[in-house]
Amino acid sequence: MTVVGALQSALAVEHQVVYGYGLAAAHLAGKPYAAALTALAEAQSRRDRLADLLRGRGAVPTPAAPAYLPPIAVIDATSAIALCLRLEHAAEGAAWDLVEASGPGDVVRGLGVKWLGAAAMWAAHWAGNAALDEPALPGQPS
Amino acid sequence: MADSAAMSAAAVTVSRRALLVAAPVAFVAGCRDRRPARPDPDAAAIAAARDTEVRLVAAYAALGDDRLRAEHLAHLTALGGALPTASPPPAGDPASLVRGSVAALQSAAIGAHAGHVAAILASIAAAHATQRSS
Repeated sequence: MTVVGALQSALAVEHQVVYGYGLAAAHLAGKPYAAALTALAEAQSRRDRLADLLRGRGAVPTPAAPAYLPPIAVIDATSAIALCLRLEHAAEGAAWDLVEASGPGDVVRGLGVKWLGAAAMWAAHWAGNAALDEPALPGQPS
Repeated sequence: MADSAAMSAAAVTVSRRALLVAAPVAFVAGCRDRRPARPDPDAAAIAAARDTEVRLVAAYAALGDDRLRAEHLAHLTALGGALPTASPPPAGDPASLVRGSVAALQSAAIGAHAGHVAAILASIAAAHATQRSS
């Protein structure tokens, strides 16, 4: 995969993450709500950074879809947290691809490495007690 | 018996073909460039990461923590390593070693020449940053 291709794929995933956290937050309250808003803000910032990196390479950033269909029905706090976990697993995969496609010392490589760490942190957060069952290598293609 | 004979005939044919193919291959092998292979630019980073994982596997085995032992063994395997026959040096507090390894692994991932090596190092760094005790 080329760097631009990986950036476009990462941006497409980040659009979904931003949308998903907005949807999940609507079903959360208290600390989980605050955590979702923090994760949302991080995702928005990274989305904008990914778009900037694409423009810097002369590419047109992938636009967000008007809406996304979540992989599970989000009807309460439990399902909202399950969605958050799925979002971060998708982010881990996109970050892995970004790291793999970029060159040594590249700013894209640095972004991917940080993103993979952040996504794994959030995944562990949303997994709660089930975090012990998270994969040994976050983001690794199955 | 008939089947056996057919098999033998085929084997002779293959054998003759193999001889015809083998001669040019041997000639090419003889003319091969004998300069030493270029060293792997990621070898040092991989070796350092493997060393950490070997020590962690040993430390968690000594603590009887099968889950974390298995996790770090998975990291070691991803790095292309295997458990040494001799005992590694003691890891001290493995949790400290795990936490202390994150920055070095991230730095190694950013500098790695091979993309797949970078991804593995970054993923191990992410796993170490989020490691929970059993």
